[in-house]
Amino acid sequence: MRRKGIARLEPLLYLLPALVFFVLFTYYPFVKTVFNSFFLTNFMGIRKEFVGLENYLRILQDKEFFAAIKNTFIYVLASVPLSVFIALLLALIANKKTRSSPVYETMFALPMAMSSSVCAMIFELMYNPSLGILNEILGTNISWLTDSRYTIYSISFISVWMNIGFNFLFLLAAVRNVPADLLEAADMEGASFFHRTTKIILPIVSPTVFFLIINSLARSMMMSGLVIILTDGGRSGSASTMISYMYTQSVNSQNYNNGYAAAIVAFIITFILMLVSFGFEKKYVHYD
Amino acid sequence: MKKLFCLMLIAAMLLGLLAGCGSNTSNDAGGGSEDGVITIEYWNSAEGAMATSTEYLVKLFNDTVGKEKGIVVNSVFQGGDVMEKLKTLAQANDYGNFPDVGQIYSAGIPTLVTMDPLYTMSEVYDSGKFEITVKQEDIIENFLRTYQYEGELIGMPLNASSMLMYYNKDAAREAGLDPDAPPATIAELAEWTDKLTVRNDDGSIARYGLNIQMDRYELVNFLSGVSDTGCNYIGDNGGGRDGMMTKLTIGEDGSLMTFLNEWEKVIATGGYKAVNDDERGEFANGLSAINFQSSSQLATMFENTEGKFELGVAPLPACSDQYNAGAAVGGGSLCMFDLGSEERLQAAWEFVQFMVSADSQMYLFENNGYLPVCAAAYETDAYAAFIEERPEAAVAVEQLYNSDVGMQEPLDLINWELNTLSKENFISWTNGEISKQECHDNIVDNFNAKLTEYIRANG
Repeated sequence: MRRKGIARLEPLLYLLPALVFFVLFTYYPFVKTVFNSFFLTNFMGIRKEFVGLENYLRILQDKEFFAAIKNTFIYVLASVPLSVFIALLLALIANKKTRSSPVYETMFALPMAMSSSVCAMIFELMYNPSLGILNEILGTNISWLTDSRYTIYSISFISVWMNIGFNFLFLLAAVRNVPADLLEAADMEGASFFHRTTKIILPIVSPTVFFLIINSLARSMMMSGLVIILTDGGRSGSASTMISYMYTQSVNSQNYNNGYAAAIVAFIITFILMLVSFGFEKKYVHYD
Repeated sequence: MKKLFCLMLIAAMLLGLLAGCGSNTSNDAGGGSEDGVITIEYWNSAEGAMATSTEYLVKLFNDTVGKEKGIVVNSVFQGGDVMEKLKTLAQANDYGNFPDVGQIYSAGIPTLVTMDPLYTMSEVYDSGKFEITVKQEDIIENFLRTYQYEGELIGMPLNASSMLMYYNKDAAREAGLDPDAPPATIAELAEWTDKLTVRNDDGSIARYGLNIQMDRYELVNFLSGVSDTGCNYIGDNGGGRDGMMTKLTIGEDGSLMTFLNEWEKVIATGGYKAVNDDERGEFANGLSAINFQSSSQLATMFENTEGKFELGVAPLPACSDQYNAGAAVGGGSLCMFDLGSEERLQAAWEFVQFMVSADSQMYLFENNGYLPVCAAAYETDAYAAFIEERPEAAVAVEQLYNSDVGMQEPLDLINWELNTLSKENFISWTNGEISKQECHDNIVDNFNAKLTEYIRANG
């Protein structure tokens, strides 16, 4: 009897260390943020008075916060599909194992090893309108990081480049796991490259594609580093994202009231987006 | 046996975790007293050349005064702003992990005075407990004023700088301007900007006459002399030094509009670039002819332009003939923290005195362009020799002596907001997207609204 009890308890005990970390560093801060968002809080994070929804109403009347929400969606739409699509193309190209495979596989995956601050500095030099290589090659005179028409796309481009390596590794493994007999049968039936890809490879790798999209989506919705390093949010918040808005309000302006509310709104929007994305799983993802 | 081992492992992990969470009041890793030697911690935000100088001076202290008095300073770089780290500790009520000495910028003073362990310089001088070799009157008044709050000296000025005008003398000659008579007013700056601008055949600009992004630092410096009383405090309560600043005064006293009226002449030339893509790099590569930077950039500016063109250095132009020239003091200070040990406080004070001694200050001046904060440094042979070798360095010193003591960056509590508002509205105005009046109102009204919001939560 006693042995049965321990056996039942054992898996829970294995989970306990991870759970402790989750509670300490995720759930507790989250609950505290939700709670604090209904209070007036000073720069030391001390609650002064209950203000109900006032913090939410204030940021929802702030044009910059709406610009941040819009920018976040532009950023997600411009970077997530493209980084998965390019990585898939590269995986298809690199699918066949040859003697030079390790070389180009490493080259394709290399951006994964770059920190975002290093990437930001490299691209900052490239984007410089007068001294940078980009305008020189294109023959243009565009202020990539200060002209509000281009800023968010310039940042999305960096993000695409940075995410390709990670996506490529997963997709290469998935593409190489497609059963060879299926592909051989398709070849014998005279299927074209396009048909082989869309009718056999894509359905089989769809769980990996789905995982990468969900993963990129969550990370992109929370993106702030590149925006803060390269643009400080851009002119009139033209490049700020929800999380960079939260950061500048809380850290730079020492206004935790707006920061807490922005964090919760960002969470709700991201959560809804994730739920919608999971809705597509049943229709487009094949596990058989 | 296996299960028992697993359970023990889990228990050990949990205990380790809990122990980690519980330790929040010690500073054993960074400081303490052992074998009669006191180790103190110095948190700094020194980057680039200043980082090298800081390490040199700390080592020099440890090898000389420190060795003699049994003090070891452990220097720790804490990123661009030490105040951010102190704020994080204060939010967790973890004062035990404060350093003994921190390098603090003036903008951090209003926050710093709310922190319990702060041991102000006024307390040092008034307590009678410390051996004083650097008296308060030995420090130049302009620098003392920077770190005063409600009459009390909070920090000891360490690395002081002021904004200077850097210009391309070769370009000035080509444009028929006298390179040894740089613009003294904004109107003259506009004339120079116009003449120094070079256009391509298609009308695009090959070289801007002037490139300066009007951030808070630049705006405050240009405005600091725009006042009938000699200096402009920018905000009420003496710019936040006599009490909490509650509003900008540059709107109601007309000083901002006075400046904008003059700056309009610069914009009208069409040869002014209001965005900072890489101001220093573009200036060094001949893509702009005038640029404004801190005096701490003096060595870098000479290094960057060497072999390309002759670099000119001049004081900041006054708003007009009617107003004083001069500049606000920038840079950082040394602040002390009482961690409950008298001997560590004494050790911290020894270190502070060493850092502001004439020799240390001359070292910073020669290697980084920071102006010596103690008057004695200006009397040394080293100073005379350095000025002879690099006469341009004297420009910042002369500017300092010509500046009213009240010319200071304000303690404006939410300086980030002023930075953003100033930068964005000047760019929009230059691009013709908003009018001069809108630029003025956007800066003043939006900042005051944000400040009111801040005071409601923190006042």
